[in-house]
Amino acid sequence: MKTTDLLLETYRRAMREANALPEPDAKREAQQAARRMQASGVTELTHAVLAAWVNQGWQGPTVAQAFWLNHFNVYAGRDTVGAALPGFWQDVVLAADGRFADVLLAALTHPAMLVYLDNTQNRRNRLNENLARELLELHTLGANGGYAQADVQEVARVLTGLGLSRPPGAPEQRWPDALAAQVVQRGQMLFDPARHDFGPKRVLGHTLHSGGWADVQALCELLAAHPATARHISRQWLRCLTGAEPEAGVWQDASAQWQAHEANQADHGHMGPWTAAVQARLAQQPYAPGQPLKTPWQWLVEVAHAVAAGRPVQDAQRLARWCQQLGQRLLYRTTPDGYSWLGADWANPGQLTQRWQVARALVAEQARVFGAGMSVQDVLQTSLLREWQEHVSPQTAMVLDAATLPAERLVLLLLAPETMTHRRAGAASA
Amino acid sequence: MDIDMHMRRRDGLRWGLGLAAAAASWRVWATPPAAQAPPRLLLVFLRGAYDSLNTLVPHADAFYAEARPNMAVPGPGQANGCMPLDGRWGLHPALADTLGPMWARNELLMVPFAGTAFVSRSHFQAQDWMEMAGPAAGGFSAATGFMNRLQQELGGRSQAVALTAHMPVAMRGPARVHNAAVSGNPTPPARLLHATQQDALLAMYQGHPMAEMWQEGLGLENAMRSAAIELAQMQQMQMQQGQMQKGPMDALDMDPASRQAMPASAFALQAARVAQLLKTQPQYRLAMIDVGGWDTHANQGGATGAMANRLRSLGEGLGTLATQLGPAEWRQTVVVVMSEFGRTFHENGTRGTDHGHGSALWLLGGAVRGGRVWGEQTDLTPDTLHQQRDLPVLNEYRAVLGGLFQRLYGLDADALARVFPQTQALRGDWV
Repeated sequence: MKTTDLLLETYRRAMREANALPEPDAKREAQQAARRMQASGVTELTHAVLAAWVNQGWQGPTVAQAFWLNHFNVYAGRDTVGAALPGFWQDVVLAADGRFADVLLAALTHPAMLVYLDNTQNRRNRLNENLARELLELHTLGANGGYAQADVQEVARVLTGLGLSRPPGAPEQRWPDALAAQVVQRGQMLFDPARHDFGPKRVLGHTLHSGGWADVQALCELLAAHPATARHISRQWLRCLTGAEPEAGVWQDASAQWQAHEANQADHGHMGPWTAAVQARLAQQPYAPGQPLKTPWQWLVEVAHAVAAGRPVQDAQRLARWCQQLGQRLLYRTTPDGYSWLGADWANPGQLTQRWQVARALVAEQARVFGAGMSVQDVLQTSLLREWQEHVSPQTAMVLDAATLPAERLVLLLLAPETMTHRRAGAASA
Repeated sequence: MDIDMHMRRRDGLRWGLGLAAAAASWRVWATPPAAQAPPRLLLVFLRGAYDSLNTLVPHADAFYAEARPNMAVPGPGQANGCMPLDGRWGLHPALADTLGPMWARNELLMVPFAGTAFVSRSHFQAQDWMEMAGPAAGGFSAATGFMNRLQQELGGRSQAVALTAHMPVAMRGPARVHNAAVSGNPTPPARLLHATQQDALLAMYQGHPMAEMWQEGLGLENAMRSAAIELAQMQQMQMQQGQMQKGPMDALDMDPASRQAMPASAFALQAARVAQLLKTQPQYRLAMIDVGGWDTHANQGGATGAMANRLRSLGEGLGTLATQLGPAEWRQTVVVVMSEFGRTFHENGTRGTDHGHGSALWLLGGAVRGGRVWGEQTDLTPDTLHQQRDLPVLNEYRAVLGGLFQRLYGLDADALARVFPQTQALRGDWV
């Protein structure tokens, strides 16, 4: 049992014990206590993630974590998903630098995903296609990735038997000898051969005929190597970096590089070099005015990082609340498509006025969020914010110069077009 | 270059003055003359699937009370009984004070067995589905909401506003929609507007593609705050008058009408602000607001209890809306109340109800030809239930709303097909 699965194990044990209580009031109380434990685990994770993002700024690891968390979106409010999230963060999001086929296998078979997309109910002759469909449409090939409804059904057959083990404390599950060798257990995840469809499956023109866990692995290899997957992931990544639909040439190059990396790399990460290459390519694009609005995550992490000026986050609860206020609550996106990376999807009058409120609150409460010891004037004098102030348009500069109070100047700087929108096509910001 | 910079600097010194004028112009939106203005539509979305069966109560169906031994609302005439609407249906007693008079004035119409053919018991899937409102057969991938599509059809005759912090799916799409949260905070914000900072923001964005969006956002924010403040002043005046006329003790012991004037619940206060905003900003012909808290899986209560309290608050809000708008504006307004799906016909093991299918849709307004329960109905027996558990859907909501929009806005068949693709609109004399 890995320590990251501890919350899920504890939660499931507590729920099992609660459900066994005969007296209704005691039962309800015990269930509520278990749910509170789960919720506080989610809150703790949210605060840790946001604090880390703000400490390191919107670059490198932060962007990659945000991207993969959102790519394999799960919803903390559903059933046991919340309790599985610390493990999901550790084993999927932080491990997403590896081969995509491995990342995919980890995401797909994680208890958080299996519960969120109903695969715990997917078994031989009683298919539930939810996970299979989203796996093709969102995680790999993309909506127009060239698969048919028959492929969805066949993928669902591959995924039969993937679910959760019996809750801790329950009598151990036993299988007849013929099946026992086929059982795969990782933490609370169980591949149950008794529920699996061992017949051959035809997916995207390929036949998977091993049956069992080997088919799940083969499916991940097949999907990870597919050109449509390279195109889909590249497009999502470029949207994440630029806030807009990618230009055709950049997209093609990124897809080709992705596929080459995926084919060549044996067992270590390629996301680093690939993302660096994509960003370098983007940096050659000419600056165009009127770039898209940054997502709430990117804007908030950037401005909070700048205002923190090296001070560690002391009150992550406020960051979480601001995230929620801006409509991008961490771990609580209900639908599997994740939040949109496109600026156009965030640009509405209410979003702008909410950012105004958040900027005011951030500046007013900076000493509480990051610790006393720096005045707003000090913050404005840090090298990062001096750089921001030097790289604004004459129009913005004039407005900033007319501000009488440091706090006013800082609020306006955080809301300036240069801060709110992508600076040029694809620069993920300095 | 020196001269250029100098000129810009001088312009910069003047921006404060120039933009003060811009700020004042927020209220001067293109407003159609009242006579030409299309009717106002306010969509009230009950998030979380409200239990229509304990709201519009089928008291004459014995199966109803059988299926809900611990939480059925008693029939008319019994203790805490529902208010009879017709021989079959009754209104939850918590709504009797507020919606009862509206029913009596024929301003409230109820459509039971309403909903969508799409069966999903997931809140988020169903809400998205209801708000996008594509054809039941699927194949409709445009991620736009039906209120946005209606706004596109109304064009310059209307402006749409979502009174929510985030743009609801129903309002998403190519037509520009304003949005801002209606705060439930009972005291209106003391610091009004931060006018200097607003001017500075607009100056930074002058000529920028987002300039208009900032103007709309700040304009709506200002209008909302003004509405809240005006409302608070009116309430204070009413309170003082009331105290002068009746004495302090009487003022505390309020009758239903005065409770409408001084809202008791957070939603009633929000509704009052919405009404004030809609009155002072008549360009908003399409509006939407969310009311949450309806997902009653456990301890839902019956004639009293958790859901009864939510209903009371909702009724107070809708009553306040009508009062605050005033008779003339209320006649120009149609309120649609709907939810993503209904709840199970039977109560569950925790004295609540689970996710179901069919629900009830309400139409309210001064011009609504109400005082009746409208639409297809069927008996309630174990055999007529959808999948032996839920109220069936006999009145498809897009067909009802499509027919309503046709009547309200004179949409032709093509326009209607753009708002609700592949829908046969029902014909009804709702307004």
